[in-house]
Amino acid sequence: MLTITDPCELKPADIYRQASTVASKTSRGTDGHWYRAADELPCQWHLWFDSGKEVVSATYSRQDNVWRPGPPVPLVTLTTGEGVNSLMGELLSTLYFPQKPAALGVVLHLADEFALAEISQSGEISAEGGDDFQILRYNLVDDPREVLADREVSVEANAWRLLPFWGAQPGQQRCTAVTLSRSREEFLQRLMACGEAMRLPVRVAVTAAPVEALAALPQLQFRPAAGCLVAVLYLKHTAVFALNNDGELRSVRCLLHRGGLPTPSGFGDILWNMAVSAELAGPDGAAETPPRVLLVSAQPFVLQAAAQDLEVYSVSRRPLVHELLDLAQSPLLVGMPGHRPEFLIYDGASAIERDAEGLAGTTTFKELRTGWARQSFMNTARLDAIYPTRQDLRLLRFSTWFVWLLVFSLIGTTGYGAWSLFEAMNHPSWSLTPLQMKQTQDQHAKLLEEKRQIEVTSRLFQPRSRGWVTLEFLFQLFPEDSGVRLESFIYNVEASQPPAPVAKGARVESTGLVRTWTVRGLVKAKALELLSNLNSQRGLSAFFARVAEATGDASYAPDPARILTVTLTQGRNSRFNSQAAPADVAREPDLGFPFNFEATITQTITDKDTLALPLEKPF
Amino acid sequence: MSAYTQPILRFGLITPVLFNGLLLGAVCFGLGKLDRVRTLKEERHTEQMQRIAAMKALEEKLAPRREEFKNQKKLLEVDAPQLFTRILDNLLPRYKEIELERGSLVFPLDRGRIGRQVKAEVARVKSSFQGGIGPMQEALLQVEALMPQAVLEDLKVTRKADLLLGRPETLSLELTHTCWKAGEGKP
Repeated sequence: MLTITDPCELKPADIYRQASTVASKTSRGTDGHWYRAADELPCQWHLWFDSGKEVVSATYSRQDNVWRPGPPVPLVTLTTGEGVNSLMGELLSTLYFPQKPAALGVVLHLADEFALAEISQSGEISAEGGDDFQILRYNLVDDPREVLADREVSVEANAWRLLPFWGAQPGQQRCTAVTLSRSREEFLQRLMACGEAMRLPVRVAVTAAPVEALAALPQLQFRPAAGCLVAVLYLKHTAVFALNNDGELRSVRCLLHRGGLPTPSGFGDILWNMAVSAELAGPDGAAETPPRVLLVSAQPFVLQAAAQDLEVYSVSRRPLVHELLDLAQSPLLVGMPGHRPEFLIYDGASAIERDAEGLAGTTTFKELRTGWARQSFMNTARLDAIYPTRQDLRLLRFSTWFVWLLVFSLIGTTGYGAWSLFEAMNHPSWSLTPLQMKQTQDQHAKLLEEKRQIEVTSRLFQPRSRGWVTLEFLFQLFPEDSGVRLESFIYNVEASQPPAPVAKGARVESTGLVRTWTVRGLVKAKALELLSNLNSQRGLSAFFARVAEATGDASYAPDPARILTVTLTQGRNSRFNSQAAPADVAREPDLGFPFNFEATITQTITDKDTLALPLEKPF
Repeated sequence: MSAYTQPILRFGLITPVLFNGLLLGAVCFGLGKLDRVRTLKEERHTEQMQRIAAMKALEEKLAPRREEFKNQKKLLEVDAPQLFTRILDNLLPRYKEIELERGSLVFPLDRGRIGRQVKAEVARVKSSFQGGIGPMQEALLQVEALMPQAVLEDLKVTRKADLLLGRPETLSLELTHTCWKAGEGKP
């Protein structure tokens, strides 16, 4: 059982907790029926009670506009609220509605009492403004003692609702307060609690049956030619409404039935006085036509008794014309449970529209239809105020969704983080330590250094200048019996100046070489061609290629990057003697050579050459 | 605004949003940190893998050259002048004086025309011979085959006739070799 405490008595955290409880344990957050009036719901249960032996019970389905007899309600249930659960169980079956109700509007039409209370002078004055009935109406609901003339009333025992007299003239009483006992609210509260437990919206209303009966007159085809009195006879009282010649409500009175009689005592006198007060008759019967009285009841014998009473009065005292409206015979109420006209104003509005120009066209009946007749004497707004509003519950739902979204985001992000961590920890990179990296770096550096050492050493060991090859060079240059006598041969190698770095920070790794061969000697005429061949680039390159091939020494291999130059000087041998005897030539060989020569061959090996000298130390 | 509105806003929206927001922020911060650490570690790992691959490739290149390098190192570590002398001492007795005779053998201390431009340590050997070119070439072939670290820096061949002694004309050969050697920082 949900226990709701007034939020004014709770701390903010408890208020929030209570709102959460309401949102989770009731359907208030999702079902809009909780926030509608009882008569606006599609499934309605109408109870009519006049202190008689039976309670008229009827169900109404707005969807198909059908009235059905409702479940019987024992008087004890209405009084104490016992057996409400079983009643609800019956109502929620498809026995009384075309389909199982999703919400239930319960309207209790009270006809067992109808008291009137006077509005204070200040209230009357404020109501004279014309459109201030609504303000007065709400003031009467919120604080009856401020509005009623009698300030000693018990707000716990009774409830008051305003009934304006739309036909009152300035200076006349413009409204009254209809009073009903709150003794039946217990039953309705139990119904509401039961509905709440079943997550079924149950909206309730308590209405004054006489006012509803008055509002239903236009639908009952009542068309008075002029002003009249409408007397609605109930079991314990008769409600008399005075309508002026325009059909507007002029005054109202409640006449109690005493001694178990079906009509009030002094009924004729009271009606005559009301007619005079409502200017339907002169004080001495001066009006051209006697006042007309409409007697309304569902009990034929009651109508008969009231009619006899008025007939006797008309004959003996003053003339009163009366009409009878037997509700049991009314075609509109034939199918209506209990033939109650009070239910009619909850029915479809088609009948009113057809008669809108007659009585229904008056301000009184228009206003009664728009809500004045259906005023609930049970202040459900005060009950609703302790619950969160629909906006509050929507806000709560939104906040719940939003927080869940955040929680899911948090869980998702955390999960992603955990997965990322798991993935990262299972990656080989996670176990890689700085020490391992350092060791690898050191090993790599060691290998690189070793590579450098190997390369530098290997380059140092390259055969770029060897003595035996140089002598082979000499043999290849001047073979045996070539007609050349060698006087001297000088060979030298010199490392070039290292080139300047191309860019700042760039390192120069090697330097070139310059090799020079200088040959000086004597030559016979037949060897001049040999020297001539040497004195050309092609011939020199061919010679170097031949040496390279013969020795396998790559330093002699021709290469575009290796520059070969030759300087050849030839001259006549001054000691040459063409007449010299062979013995002289054998003793002095220079006598047999007509020419002398000097050749200087230079080979420049650049720093880009594979044979260039490495500048760095190997170790 | 009912009596419920403010508590719902306070306890239902603001407080959880702040709480979740803080947690979410902390988790996001942690994620960012993890991502940075992970990226750094993966970069290091990639670097490590690349280094290992480079080392492997380098090792494959160096492995076949190590034996030769080892021999070369040994050659660089020996005393070149001494070795040069020993080779000649072993070699020259095979030749007659007329074929090849050693003249002088000196070890200049300067770096010479090759050594002065490079940082590698050098030892120079200056030798002179008398004889024929053929024996000289043969001797040089043997010396230089045994001492590949020797580079011929200069060679001078001239004719020489000792008329007083009545000896036939011979060739005078003067040679200078620059030999590479390991420095003080040798491995």
